[in-house]
Amino acid sequence: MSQLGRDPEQLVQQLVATARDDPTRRAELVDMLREDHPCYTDVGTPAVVRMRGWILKALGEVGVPADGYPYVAEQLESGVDAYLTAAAAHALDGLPATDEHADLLRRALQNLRYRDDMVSFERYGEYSKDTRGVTALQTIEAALGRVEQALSEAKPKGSCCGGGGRVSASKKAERPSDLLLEDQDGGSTTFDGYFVGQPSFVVFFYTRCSNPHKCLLTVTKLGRLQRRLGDANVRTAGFTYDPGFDNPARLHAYGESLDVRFAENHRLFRTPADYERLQDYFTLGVSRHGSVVSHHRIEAFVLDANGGIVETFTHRQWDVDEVVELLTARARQSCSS
Amino acid sequence: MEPKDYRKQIEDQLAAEAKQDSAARSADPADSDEGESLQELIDTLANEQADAKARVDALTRVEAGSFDVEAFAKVKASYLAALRTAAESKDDTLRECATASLAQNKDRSVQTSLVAGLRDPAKATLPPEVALQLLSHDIHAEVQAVAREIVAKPPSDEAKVEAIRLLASDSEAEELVKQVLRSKSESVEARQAAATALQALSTKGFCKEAVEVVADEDDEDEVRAGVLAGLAQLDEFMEDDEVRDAVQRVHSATASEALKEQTKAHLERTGDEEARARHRARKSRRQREP
Repeated sequence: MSQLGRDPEQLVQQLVATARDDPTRRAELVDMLREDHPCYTDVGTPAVVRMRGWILKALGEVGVPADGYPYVAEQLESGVDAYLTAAAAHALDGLPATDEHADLLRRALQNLRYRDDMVSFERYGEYSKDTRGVTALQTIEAALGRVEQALSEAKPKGSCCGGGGRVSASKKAERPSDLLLEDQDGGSTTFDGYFVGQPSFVVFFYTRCSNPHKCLLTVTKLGRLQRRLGDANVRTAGFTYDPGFDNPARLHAYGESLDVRFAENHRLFRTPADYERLQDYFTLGVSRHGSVVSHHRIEAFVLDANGGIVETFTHRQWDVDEVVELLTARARQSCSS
Repeated sequence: MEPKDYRKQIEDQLAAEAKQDSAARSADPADSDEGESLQELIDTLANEQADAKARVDALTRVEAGSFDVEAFAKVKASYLAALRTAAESKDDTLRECATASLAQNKDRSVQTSLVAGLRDPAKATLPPEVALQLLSHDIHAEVQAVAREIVAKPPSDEAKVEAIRLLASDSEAEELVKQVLRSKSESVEARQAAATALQALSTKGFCKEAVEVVADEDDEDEVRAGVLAGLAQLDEFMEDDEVRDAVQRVHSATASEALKEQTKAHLERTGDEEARARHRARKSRRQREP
C-alpha cells in the first residue's frame, strides 16, 4: 500500500478509465507520471512499470498535453523496458507527428534491439504468453511508420511540444547550506563548503541503476565534461540517489571505472544523513521501494556561485558541449564580478 | 615418414575435422540464418500438450542458441512468451527451469509471481528458498520487504538463510542482520550469511560485530572463522589495534587448529610493514579536508 492509503494500481486503472471517458482529466494522468508522485512511494519496480505503461498508453488515446511530452520522450530516448517503451510509442499517437518523434522512435528501436518482448495492452498488467503476438519492436516500428506517413503527407508546423531537456530554474526549497556531504574518498564537506564560490554542475545517479542510458551514461558524460572543462574555475558533483548503499568505496570504484576525474573540484558525493533536504532542494524525480530506487528520471543542474539553481535539465539527455558553454560563461561572469 | 607425406596426412585430417564441424554446425538450430529452427524449439516449449521432457530439452537448446546474439534477438520476445507458459507447467523440472530463465531475464511477470508466492504459500510455484535465489538476480524485484518478513518468520531454515543473503542489498536491513549475527540461537549457516550480508551493508558495522564474535571463546568456531575471513579482506582495518589485539588473543587461546591457522595468517598480513605503509598513504589521502 502506498502513501495514498489505497492500492495505487487500482487508482491508476480507475483514473485511466475516467480519463478515457473525459479527456479533460488527462492532466491528472500526466501528474501521475511525476516520478515523485505519492502513488509510487514504497511500490516496487514491476508495479511502477505496469502503472506508468498503462498511463502512457492512455495518453495516446486522449492526447498528450505539453507537460506530458517529456515523459514520453525520455522513455523513447533512454528507456530499456520493452513494455514501457512500447507504451510510449503508443503515446505519440496523441500528438501531431514531428521529425523529432521519428528520431525518438528510431532511438527506441536501437535501445530495445536485444531487449524485445511481447507486449499486450488489452488488460491492465497483462504479460503476453502469445509466442506469435505483437512485440515491443513491432509496436515501435508501426508507430514510426505512422509518423513517417504523416510527415510525408503534411509538413509539420514546427515542434508541437518540445519540452524536457533544459528549462529555467523555478522557485526551489531553501538551500541546504549546512548539509553534510561525504565524497568518494571519505572526505567531508558541507553543501555551501563545496558549492559556494564558483559555478557548478550537478548530476544524480546511483551505482545499482540497471539502465545503461541513464546513470551509467550520465556519469560517463560527467567524466567527459570534466576533461572538456580542464582547469576552468568550476566544480562538478555527482550525487547518489542511494546514499545507504553507495558508500565512499563504491562511489570511488564506480567513478573510476567510468573515467571520472577525482580532484578538489570534481567529486562524487553521498549524504550520510538528511538526504531529503537534497531531494527537496533539487525537487528530484525519483521513487523508492524501501531502500531501493524503483524509478527515476534523468536530471542535471547548473548552479551559480552561490549554490543557487540556475538551469535544470530533466528527462532528456543533456549535451556536454552545451553544458561546457554554460559553465564557462558563468565562470567568466563570476571572475569579472 | 617423409615431411611431404606427413604434411599431407595432417592436411587431410584437418579437412575431415572441418567437414565434421561444418555438418555439426548446420544441424545446430542456433546457427539458423533466420532463426526458424529456434522458433520451432520455442513452439515446442510453449506447447502445453507436448511431453515435459521434450519441452525442457527445447528450453535447453534455445538457451544454447542464445549465444548467437543476433539470431536470438529475433526470437527473444517469442521465447519469453513461451517461458511464461512453461513457468505454469505442472512438471516441476520444466516449471523451475522456465522460471529460472525468466528470472535471469529480470522478467517482471515472474518477479511478481514469485513475490506473491512468498507472501502466500498457496500461490507459490517453487519452494521459498528457490524463489528467493531467483529474485536475487534483480535488486528491483521488490523482494527486500518480504525477505525481512521471512527472516522474522521463516517457513524453513533454508529460506531464512536465502532471505538473509538477499538482505545484503537492503541498506535498511543492517540492524536486522546484526541481530542474526549476534544471536547464538541462530544456525551457523544463518549467522555466516548474516556476517557476509553485514560486510556488504556496512564495513564499520561488520568490523565492530566481528571483533566481538572473534573474541568470544564460547562462540562457534565455524562462525568465528567465517567472520575472521571477512575481516581479513578489509583494508580499512589493517591498523586497527582493537581488531589485531582480539585476533592475537584468539590465536593464543583457541583450541581449534583451523582458527589458529586463520588468525596466524591475519596477524602476518597485518604485521607486514609495507602493507601498513601503503594503507597509511591511502588513509592520509582520504582524510584531506576541502
